[in-house]
Amino acid sequence: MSSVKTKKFRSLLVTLTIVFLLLGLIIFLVSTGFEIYFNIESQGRMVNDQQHLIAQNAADAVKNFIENKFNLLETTVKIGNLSVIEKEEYKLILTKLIGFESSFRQLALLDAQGKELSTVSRLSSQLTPVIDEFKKQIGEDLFVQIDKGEKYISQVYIDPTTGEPMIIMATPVKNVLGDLKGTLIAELNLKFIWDLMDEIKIGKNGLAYVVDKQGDLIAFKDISRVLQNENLAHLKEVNEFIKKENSLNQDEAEILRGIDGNLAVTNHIGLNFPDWAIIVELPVSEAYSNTIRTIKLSGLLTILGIILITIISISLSKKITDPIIKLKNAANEISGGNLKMKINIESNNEIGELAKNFNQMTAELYSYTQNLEKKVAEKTFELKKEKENVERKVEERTRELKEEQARFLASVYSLSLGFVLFNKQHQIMLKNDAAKNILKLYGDDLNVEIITKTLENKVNIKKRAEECMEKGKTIELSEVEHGEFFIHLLFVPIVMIKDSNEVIGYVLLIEDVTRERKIDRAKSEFVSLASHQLRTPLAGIKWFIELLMKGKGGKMDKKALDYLQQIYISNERMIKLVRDLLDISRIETGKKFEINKQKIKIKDILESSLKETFSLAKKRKIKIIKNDLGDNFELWVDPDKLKQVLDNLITNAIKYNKENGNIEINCQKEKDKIIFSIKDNGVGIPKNQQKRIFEKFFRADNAIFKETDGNGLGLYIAKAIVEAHGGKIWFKSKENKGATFYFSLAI
Amino acid sequence: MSKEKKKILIIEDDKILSNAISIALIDAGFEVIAAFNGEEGLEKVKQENPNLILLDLIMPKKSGEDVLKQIRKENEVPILISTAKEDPETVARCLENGATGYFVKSACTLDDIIRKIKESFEQ
Repeated sequence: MSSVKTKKFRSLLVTLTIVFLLLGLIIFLVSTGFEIYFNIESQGRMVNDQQHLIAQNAADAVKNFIENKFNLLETTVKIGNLSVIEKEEYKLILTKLIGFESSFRQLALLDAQGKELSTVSRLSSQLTPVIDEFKKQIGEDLFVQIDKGEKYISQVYIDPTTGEPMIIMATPVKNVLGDLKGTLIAELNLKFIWDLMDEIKIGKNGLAYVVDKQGDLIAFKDISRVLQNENLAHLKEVNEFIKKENSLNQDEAEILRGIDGNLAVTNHIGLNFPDWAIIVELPVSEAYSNTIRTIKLSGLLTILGIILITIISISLSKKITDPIIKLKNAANEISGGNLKMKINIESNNEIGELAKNFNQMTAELYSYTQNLEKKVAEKTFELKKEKENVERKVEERTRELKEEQARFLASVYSLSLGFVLFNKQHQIMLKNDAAKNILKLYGDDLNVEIITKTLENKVNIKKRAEECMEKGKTIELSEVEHGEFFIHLLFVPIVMIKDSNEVIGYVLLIEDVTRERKIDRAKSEFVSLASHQLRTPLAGIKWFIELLMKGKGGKMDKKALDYLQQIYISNERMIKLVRDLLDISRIETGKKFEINKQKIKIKDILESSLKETFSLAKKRKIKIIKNDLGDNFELWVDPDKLKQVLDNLITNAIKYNKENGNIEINCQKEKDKIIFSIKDNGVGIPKNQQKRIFEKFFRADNAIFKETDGNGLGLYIAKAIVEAHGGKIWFKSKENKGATFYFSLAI
Repeated sequence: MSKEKKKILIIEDDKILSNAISIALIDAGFEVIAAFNGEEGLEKVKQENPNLILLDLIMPKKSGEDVLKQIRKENEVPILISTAKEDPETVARCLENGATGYFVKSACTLDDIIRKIKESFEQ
């Protein structure tokens, strides 16, 4: 039987079996029941009829007996002519009669007045007159009947001596005319009926007995009971008879307790005259023996039937449920994973079909999973291959990265710059020896606090670093002094450029610029000294030549003046050169370049500049056209420096101009700037050399060719000056078409 | 303008330069007194009470700046700083400390100097 997995799982087999069983049983039992019932009924009827017949026979027999006896008496009366014969004959006849009929015990003939005419008796002893005896027994009833001219039969009484049941019968004596002449009375010994009872055969164990209207037993095969004068009024059948008014009513057989105390089919027939009843009993066991046998047989059959039905039910149920169970088991197997399971059900009914479909489904499922497995296997293989591929690539890449890292580390370690790599939390991830050496922190473990302290707290490393990381910009700190040493610090944020612009840390570069600073300082000092030492004699020469040229040293002839002029020009060149060199030196040491910013009128500067270059222009026959000079504009600039720029640009314009060329000078206001422009139509600047125009010492080829005089420093310095003022300088030029130089200054 | 000759004190350690300027100034009609170092210069200021001083910045012993400061303690006489260096900071400082003006030796002519002196007087 299947295991119980779900609640209240009722096996199909059990259910079906029970159903079939019940069905079978019900049918069986019902039919058997009906059968038995009808059997009982028919048997009962049969018995009843039988009983009735027998009872009737018995009744008739008794009735005949009595009637017989009456006939005898009547015959005697008639034949004996008792109405007319003489007294002496009476005795004779009576004696003949009593001799004839053994059942008569006493006979008496009475006249019409009731006087005893003759008596005869079997009794040996002479008792009281018979009639008195009769009277004692029966009262006056007899005569009532006789007077009516009817027969009379008394109740049964027991003779005290013999104990036998007696009755008295009387018949009227009538003459031919029908006049009552007397009565013939007979005392009948009822024991003669007993034989009759004996002869009555009721089945094997059936009983018959006679009772009178009081229920006294008159005749029964068990004579002793009769002799005891047993009363059977307590028996229901007897009672019925007693109660019955009309004794002749047909009586149905009933099953009652009988005379022997056993249940019997009881029937009675009333005789009416005498008012007795014959009761016929057939023990139930005999009456319904057939039925009982039938029942017994039925019982046996029932048991057999039940067994058979049970077997059939079980097997039938099994037949039904087996395939289902097979299906169920198979389904279990399949759901458990065994897709090769085939259901073996051959029956060609719906279950068979189901099984077939099931198998089909399973087969499809199997092939599907096979397919799937195959695909999975393929895919897995592919993936494995890919994975291997990827792994290989990763390996390669890792190796590459390792190499890169090695190279990087090597670079870092070999740097003469101090290199310290921090993460966002200011923890040192990487450092090189140079860093430690520069900071003179040998052996110590480096961290932000130590570095800050080493720098005498001049720089808060953490704070600067945070600034740098927050802004994502490089922060440069030059001129950090560390005792006798100068340190240049550079904070560089490490940004994940491709991904998210997230800053993941910073790099601190530490440069020992002590030597450079020292060099710078030396240079500055040199410059300072040189400028003084060089310029002083140059000034001396300049001034004395000036004096000479003015004639303060005596009269000079033309030639001498000319020579002096040459000397003066040369000297001026030298002065300019010294100045330029010193300017460059200063530019390069990064010293501040504008001082003495004054509010000056542009016009003044321009005019002053033009005045100076006028002679040169005149010599070269260059015409200077002053355009818009922005008369009243004022600028906040260093006038000398600005003049320097203008001098330079104008001088260039003159130097590199054509013979009889023009120079246009403009000054215009544009929003918040003043733009100066100096235009010439000279040799211009070739395109491939324009990029280098502002370079130190650079002179374009055509310029060199045009004018040997020039050191290539002018524009470099001019640019520095303009830019130091926060302005811009630029130009436009085409070879042989001239050049226009512009510079702007903020107002 | 007064007809009196203006007295100009030249404090300059280079004799040649001092000479050149003196000649030019005398020729221009000024009276010239020369001092060749700071100490001397201070003395002469007290003694001569010049109308204007030409003061060289770079001098041995006392620097022109110090001299300037000292003069300015007591005297408001116009002082023109002369320098061969282009030392903007120092010049700026001097101007702050009361120098009236300045000129760069090699960059300007004697005429320039005379002009500047005249301008100072006109102020």
